[in-house]
Amino acid sequence: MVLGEEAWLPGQPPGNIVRIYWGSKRGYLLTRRQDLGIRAAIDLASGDFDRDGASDLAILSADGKIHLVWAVKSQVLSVEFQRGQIELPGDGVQCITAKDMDGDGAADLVIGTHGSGEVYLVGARVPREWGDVTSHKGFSASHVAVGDLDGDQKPELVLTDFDIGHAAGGEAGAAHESETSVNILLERFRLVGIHGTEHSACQRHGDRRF
Amino acid sequence: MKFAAVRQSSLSRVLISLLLSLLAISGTSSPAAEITWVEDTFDDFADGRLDASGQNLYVSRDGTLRNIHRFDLNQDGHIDLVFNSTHDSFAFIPASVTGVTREGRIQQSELLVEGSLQVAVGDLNRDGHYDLVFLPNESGLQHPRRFVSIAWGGTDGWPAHRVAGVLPIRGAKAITLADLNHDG
Repeated sequence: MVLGEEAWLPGQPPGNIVRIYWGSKRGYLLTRRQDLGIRAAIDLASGDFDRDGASDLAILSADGKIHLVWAVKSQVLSVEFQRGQIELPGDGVQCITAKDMDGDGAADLVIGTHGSGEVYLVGARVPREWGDVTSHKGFSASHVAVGDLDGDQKPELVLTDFDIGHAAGGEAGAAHESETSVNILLERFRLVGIHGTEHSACQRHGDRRF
Repeated sequence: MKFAAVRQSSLSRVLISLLLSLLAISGTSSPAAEITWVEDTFDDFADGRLDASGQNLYVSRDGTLRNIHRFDLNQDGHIDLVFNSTHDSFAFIPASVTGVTREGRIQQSELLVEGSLQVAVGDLNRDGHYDLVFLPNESGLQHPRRFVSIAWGGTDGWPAHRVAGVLPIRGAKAITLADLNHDG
């Protein structure tokens, strides 16, 4: 699944194109694909949100919505998906990550924002339902990674906020308005640590992801 | 074109000219005769014109012929390719794999993937080895249509001959892996 720009071919759905290349025993082919259109989509993540053994898709759009695409058994292409949507409470969303935050086996959603420093959490509830969106004060984030950094069986969030200017042609320019560090939120945001080394690497390479 | 390392005097050139003139006047031809022009100074060459508008050769001030395109830059016997860039920075940074040995040394190797925004890791073909799917970055130097690269993993890592990039995407922003149709 690749998120691209707005429809560029005749017949494509409106919105930014999420292109699915279907796998097979022969690998991937240029022609075995399906395009979904999501208006103002900016990021996507996959995870098994309903614990049915297959990864589903969550697409974040700039208007503060999460668009859900549920995996479905199908031997026919193209696939008709069941879709869903989650409204987020604030704006300025930047990135989305899927990871099991509460240990129930279903992937939950973590959303990073720009400006307010809020981090949104949305817990998945089987079957195909979602808990309330909770907001946590953190840091602006262009990407969030989740992992148990200290071995306490609780997930930590690692946030980076990287922004880079682009010339008219799209080539990368200078980094600007970026935080000076990678921020780590420990144990449900009880402790805030700062780790500067990784961010230096991020700036040097122009990365915005872990 | 044949070049000899013999310097030719103006006198010898005059003699050759006279000989050619006499042959022409007498109507005698000598088809087997080979005429060798010897020019080895800048002034010698200055009255001539190089083939192909001088695209490949030029004459230096010391009278030597030089290639404009020096293909084998490092003199290793292989032709090198040179491309100019309009920018003084790298737009495409090669992907690399970094690991730490048991002795604590960092090992790094480059992959045949030029410029990427994101990589997704998964065992796509269920062979027990991680495969790497790279989302191309935008350079501004090319059309926004670029290609997703897949580095198929194996016991020998991700060698160049198992990197494929045939899946197009335009204006790539993000990538992820999922089995959306439950076919395994």
